[in-house]
Amino acid sequence: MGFHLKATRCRLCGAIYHPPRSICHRCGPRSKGHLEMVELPDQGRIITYTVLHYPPEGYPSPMVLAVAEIGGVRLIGRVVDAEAVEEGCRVEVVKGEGETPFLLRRIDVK
Amino acid sequence: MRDVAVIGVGMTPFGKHLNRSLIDLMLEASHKALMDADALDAPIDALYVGCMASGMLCGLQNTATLLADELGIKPQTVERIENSAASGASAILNAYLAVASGLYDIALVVGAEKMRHLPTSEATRAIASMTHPEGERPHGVTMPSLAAFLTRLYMKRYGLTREQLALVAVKNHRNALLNPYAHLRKEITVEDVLNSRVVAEPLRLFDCSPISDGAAALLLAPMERALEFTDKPAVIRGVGQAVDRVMITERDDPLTLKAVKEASRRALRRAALSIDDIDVVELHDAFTILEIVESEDLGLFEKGEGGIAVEEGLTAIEGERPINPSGGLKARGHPLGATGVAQAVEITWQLRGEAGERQVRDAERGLSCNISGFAANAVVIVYERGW
Repeated sequence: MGFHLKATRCRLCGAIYHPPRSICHRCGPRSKGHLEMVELPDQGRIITYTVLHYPPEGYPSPMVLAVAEIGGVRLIGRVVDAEAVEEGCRVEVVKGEGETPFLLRRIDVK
Repeated sequence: MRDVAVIGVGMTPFGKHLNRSLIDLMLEASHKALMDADALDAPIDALYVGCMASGMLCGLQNTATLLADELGIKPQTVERIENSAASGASAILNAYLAVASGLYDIALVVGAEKMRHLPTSEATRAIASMTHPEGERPHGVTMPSLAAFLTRLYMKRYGLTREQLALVAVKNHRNALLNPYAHLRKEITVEDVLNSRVVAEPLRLFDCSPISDGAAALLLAPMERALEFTDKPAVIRGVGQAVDRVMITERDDPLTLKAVKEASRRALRRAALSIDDIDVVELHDAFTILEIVESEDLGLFEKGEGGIAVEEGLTAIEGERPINPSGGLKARGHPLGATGVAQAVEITWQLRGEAGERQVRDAERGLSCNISGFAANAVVIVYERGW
């Protein structure tokens, strides 16, 4: 089962933020109090990626880190159960572990 | 606003200084800058120290005041300026403002960092403290991983080759061989880069700047008093700073470093100059890809042509657009807070004609670009011969 991340949406301009924030970057300080919680879809696509061979302590090496687009928001996440990915491949968001709030898992393995 | 000049410069060699303290490195650079300006007895009105992480890396706070105490000076203002890897240029910016405004006459700027006494994992963790605390760090994002994303996107959109990228490192190593202050004084080939170990695909070890210790210093004075100290003052013609979104994922186009573009535009406008008037550039090549992207965003080349420019030798010391004659962050080394000040020291030497074998011919005007975070904040300074 996928995992729906909580994001915030600015009621003034429609911008969506993950990590959630209380002030819209686009609208500035006057938007305080105008952001509402929304849920992102549990699937998206990879925009780009890297295989990191020297990750910080406590992270697996090598590990795949990707920029993914989930419901119109670009996020960075670690891709689990994959040695490599490609631009455009589909991923689902899954629950994280330890300090990592979420992970990505490839769902269109060919 | 008054014109402000660099009247003295000095730096330690960059590299490994295991048996010396951060303050000791700062003292050496400061003393050299004071001697260079023949200003050992001059009253120093202000001291600005650019240092990113003395607390995290050396367990030291109150750093600037300790330096003033050890140096035996009692400036009216003593501050440490933190703007992550652009702390050095930000310290210059603050000193410039103090002197330009007329509040102070003589300002000492010192940039420094000491990192090599720590295991690589701890130094890397300190460097990664400039990443986003929620959107990046918990996922294990390091600076090389951000550079890797940028590289892959850039290669795909503009057809940059792995060899062109490697040539940035080859050029900067070649330049550093001519710089006695550089950390990595070793000629390398494209093959060496391509055979070095993978850090974050497609980036390899030789695409990344090293972890270095070192310090650099500048003495600033109003132009009207500069000739009391030196025959060859380098005038600061313009300064510019700008910010961009902290996370590259939130930028409209991650391949344009808007902070660099805007800071450069502001500095050149204040200098009433165009990028075509600049003879020598020191920019922030923490990773090879950054030299290419910054060279475009500074306006030296069209978007997408930075890689070809390196391949054609345009950015070499004898090229049309010399970039990083010092060896840059890649080979001079990158002691975070020291870097922005070391760029200014190199430009000053270049304008004075004191850069030895790495001298850019007839360099009359120079520009430095120092960035913080992953170019979330940029400081650009334009210098010109003042004699």
